[in-house]
Parts: sequence; structure tokens; C-alpha cells
Amino acid sequence: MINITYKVEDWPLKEPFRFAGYSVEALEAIHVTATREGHEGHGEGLFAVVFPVTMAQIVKQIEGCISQVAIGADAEQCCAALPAGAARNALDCALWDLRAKESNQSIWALAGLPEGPPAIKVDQTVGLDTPEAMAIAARNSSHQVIKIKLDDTDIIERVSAIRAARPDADLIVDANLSWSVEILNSVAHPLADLGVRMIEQPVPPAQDGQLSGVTCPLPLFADESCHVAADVTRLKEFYQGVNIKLDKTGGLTEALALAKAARSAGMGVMVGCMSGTSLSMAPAYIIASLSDWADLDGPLMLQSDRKPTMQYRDGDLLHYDTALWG
Amino acid sequence: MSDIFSLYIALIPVTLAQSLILSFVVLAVMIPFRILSFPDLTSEGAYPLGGAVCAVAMLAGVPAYLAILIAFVAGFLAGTLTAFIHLRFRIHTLLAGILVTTMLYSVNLRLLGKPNVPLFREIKLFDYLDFGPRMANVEKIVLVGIIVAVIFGGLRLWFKTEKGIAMRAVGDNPDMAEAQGNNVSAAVLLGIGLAGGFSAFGGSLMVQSQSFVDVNMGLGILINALAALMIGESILGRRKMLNQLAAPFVGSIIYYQLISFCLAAGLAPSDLKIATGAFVLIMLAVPTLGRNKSKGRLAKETIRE
Repeated sequence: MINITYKVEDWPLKEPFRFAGYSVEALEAIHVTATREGHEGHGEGLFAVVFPVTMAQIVKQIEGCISQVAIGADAEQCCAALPAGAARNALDCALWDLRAKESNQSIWALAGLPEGPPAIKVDQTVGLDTPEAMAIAARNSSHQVIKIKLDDTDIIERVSAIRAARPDADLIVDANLSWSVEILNSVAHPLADLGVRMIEQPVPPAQDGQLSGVTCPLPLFADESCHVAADVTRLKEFYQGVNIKLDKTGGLTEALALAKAARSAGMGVMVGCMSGTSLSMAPAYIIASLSDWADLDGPLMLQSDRKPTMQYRDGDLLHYDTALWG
Repeated sequence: MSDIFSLYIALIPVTLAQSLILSFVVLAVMIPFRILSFPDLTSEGAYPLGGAVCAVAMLAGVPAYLAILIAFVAGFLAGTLTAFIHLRFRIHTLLAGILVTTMLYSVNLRLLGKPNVPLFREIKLFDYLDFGPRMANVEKIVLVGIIVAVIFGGLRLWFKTEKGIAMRAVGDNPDMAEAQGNNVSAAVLLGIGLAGGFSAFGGSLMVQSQSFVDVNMGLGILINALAALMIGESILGRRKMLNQLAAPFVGSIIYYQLISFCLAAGLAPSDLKIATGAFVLIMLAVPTLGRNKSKGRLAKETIRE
């Protein structure tokens, strides 16, 4: 039988991270371990302040699976029965890892993908702050792609300051659903003039329908609006791309399905994270190989990371060590 | 070997909590089978029915404890439907149970709207207890343990009453019971209804324990319950009513501990059903092996007739 255990962990950030009405000082993660006959698989799920699910509920989902498996239920079926979210992500990734370890194959091979690249270009996120402080953070980054967290104030001022500090960078903007359609209409062209390449989740999911009448010069990517592959059919009318996060899809299995569905619908693909340790980044690296943009800078914000850590070099995220995952 | 034992021991609280919840399904098998001599399969459909009704009620804002009672009533109605089909249309008890269980699958799917419904935001019965972190299984053991004790005590008292004794009489000899003025149909309706209610009750507790309902959660539950009943009866015997009533609860606890040990020892979950089926077969067959050859031949001749 697959023995499932879990641990709730706190991972303090180097400094508080601010975005659209939230300030986070430490990550709360659930670390799931799936063990069978000497092989171990690991997975991590992150509690996200933006979603109405508590860590206690995440733990109960995992404990529900443990209870079922203890009396003979199939672990993979229990995992599939969980709702999309952090608990299923942690368990699903642990089961992928276990399958890889047991079969002595790579995740790439198990997923039917060509072996992944040795490194992937990833962005670095600049948290919400004064324009000057955000410009300094962008200047200090060695990453080619800078993701800018914004709310509905000082939009152009902040992006202008960052552009002045980093004229060479590819800028992408994340409004974290803090804008209205009117704000989007008013800032879209100036942002395009500043060389911004993409806008992520400008309006709340409930207002997605209002985007159908918007002519935006920049591609819009759905983040909070897009969780699983089934969302693509609805979203392709309003967005030009989707941001895939494994804590939203509930694991690598559904993330692969979402990437495929988005590509089939002619949409762009971005992979993101709810921050997280290297154990969260490793499965997301698989999706990053299928993506246009990779927002996998979570471990850079942490005071310490899980070992063996994934390495960043000049804005690239290097392939994970299979001792970590996969 | 030590790994197997340490894994098994670590799983004991989880398995104990699960087995207490599932003991209500074992009780639901025992009442028709042993008290009323009415082999019944309705439990397999009533169990997910209880889960589905409980989930739908909770999603509609009904408190957890009330949702469980509503689930019990739904299961009771399912049981009485089986009994009614048998009594009114003279359809064999097993066939009546199969018919109801088959129909209940569609009912459950219609109730839920989809095969799997999560219940992660609703307050569950077990949320009323808070023994601290990592004590969820202890909370379940305590709460379900109390419910088991109350229901066991209630049934013990019930079977001492006139109606309870009449129900047992119907199971022993319906013709004689009827001749003595007992209402056989009412006893069968009540007994099979109670069994359906207990199965649904178990299903609703399980849904609250695992925080989701799955339309297929009843698959194979009957054979597990039967195996647990066989174990309970082989340990406690059936001579006294007290033992007969305790057998489902004791059997369930021991059966699921055995299952957990087998799984910890490496038995694949996919092989569980054949192992359980073989186990039940052995438990049923062993008593006949002790009989002498002439009795064996007599049984064969009886079947041929």
C-alpha cells in the first residue's frame, strides 16, 4: 500500500511580500510524502491567501485520503477525488514522484514529454511598493523578465520607474484582479508604450465577461479566473492566455491537461506559483517547458529553501535534481 | 518486517475510526440477515444514498447533525421500499434489494448532480470536537464510539421489548409469529427499514469524515460488511442476543484492522476484494466441513430437489 504522511511547514520570507491588498511574511506549506516498499515520493502544496481555503481544510483533505487508503482505497483514485487545490497538488506531485522513483523513469518520460531543457528563463517578481523602491528592486534583479505586482494606484508611475531602471527587461504586469475594465482601458496603451508584454488578471473573475468588449493592445492572461482545463472553454473569449499554477489545478496531472487545453484553444501559456520551495518549483518546471512565460521565482523570496535546492543563474532556473523530485 | 508493523501501528487510529463508522453498515447487514432471515442487498445502495443526502443537505445549509438524521430517514425509506417490493409483489428478497440498489445509483447521481462532491467548507459533525492538532482520528473515535454505544444500548433495549421480541420471532418462524398475532409485514418493513437507515447513517458519517461524497462509495461495501459480520460472529457466537448485537461492531473493528495489516504487508488494494471474497467463503464453508459425509450428501440431495 502507499503510505501517505504529511507535515505542515512554515517558510519565512526574506521580507514581507505585498500585493493587491495582501501582505505575506511566511509561506504555509503542506509537505506530503507517499511511501511504498522503500521508495518515497514528495509533493508540496501552498496555502494561498487569495483563495477561501484554510490550511486546516487542506489538512483535512489529506487526512480524508489517508483514512480511505488505510482501508483499501486506491491512493490515486482518492487523489483524483479531491477538489482542485493545494492538498491535491501536494498528493498528486508526491504520487508522480513515487511513480518515477519506482519505475526508475523521469517524469518527462512518464508524462510522454521529451526530456526537459537544462534551464528555463524565469521572471523575478517585484512586490508592490513605492515606485522608487520597485525600481531599485528591478535594478537589482539579474532576471531578463520582471513581473510587476500592481494595484489600482500609481500604475503608470510604478511601471515607468521600473522601465527607467531596467530598459533592457521584458516587463509583465500582474494586477491581481484589482482593476476595473475602465482602469484597464485607460492604462493598456500607456503600458504597451512602456514595453509591457502582457497583463495578468486585470479584473476579478466575476467581471471576466466585461472583457469581451475590450480592445487591449496587450495579451491578457487569466490567473485567478483559471483553475482547471475545463475553464479554458469559457475563458478563451476573454483572455489570450492562462497562468497555470499547480496549487490551482491541484497537481501536475491537471496542469498538463490545462496546458494542452489552452494550446488547443490557441491561447498562450504561463506557469506560475504561489511562491513555495524548490519542491513546488520542480513539478512546475515540467509545465514551464511548455510555457511562454515562467513565473517560478518562489524560492528566491525565502530565507531558506528545501534541500537539494533548485539553482538560479542569471535569470535562469536550472533543471531540478532528481534527489529533490522526479 | 519491522517496517510492516510500524506502518500498521501508525495506521491503527485511522483504521479504528473508519471501522467504527463502517460498523453501522455491518449492523445493517446483520439485522435483515440474522434477525429477520431476510438476505438483503439494499445496504450497498443505502450507504451512498446516506452520503449523498447528507452532502446535499449540508450544502443547503442544514447543520451536520441534522443532515445525518435526514440521511437515516432516506435510508430507512430505501429499506422499506425493498421490504415492500418483497412483501407486495412476492419478489425474492435478494432481487428486491438489487432492484432498489440499482435504482438508488441513479437517485444518488441525480441528487449530487455529478459523481463527486466535496464538502470542505461545511462544518462537519467532527468539527464540534477539537482535541488539538493531529487529533482528528481521536475525535472521530470518541464521537463515533459514543454513537455506537448509544445505538448498541438502544437496540439492546429494543430487542427486549414486545415489538423487538416479535421481530425476532418473525425472523425465526414467520408462520408461527403470524399465528401468535404478530404483524409480520410491519416487522419486516420496520427491520429492513432500520437496516437501510443504519447503512445510510454510516454513509453520512463517512462523508463527514472524509469531507467528500462519491457516487461509487458503496461499491464492495456489502462484502466487507459481510466479512466483518462473519468475524464478529465467529468470535462472539450467536447464541445470545447480546453477542449477536455486538458482533457487527467487534467484527468491523477486527476486520478492518486485518485489512490494514494486509495492506501494510504489501497486499495491493486491487487484490482486496478477491481476498475478502475468499475469506467470507472460507468463513461460510468451514462449519460445513465439520459435518459428516451423510449430512453433506443430504444437503446435496436437498439442493437437487
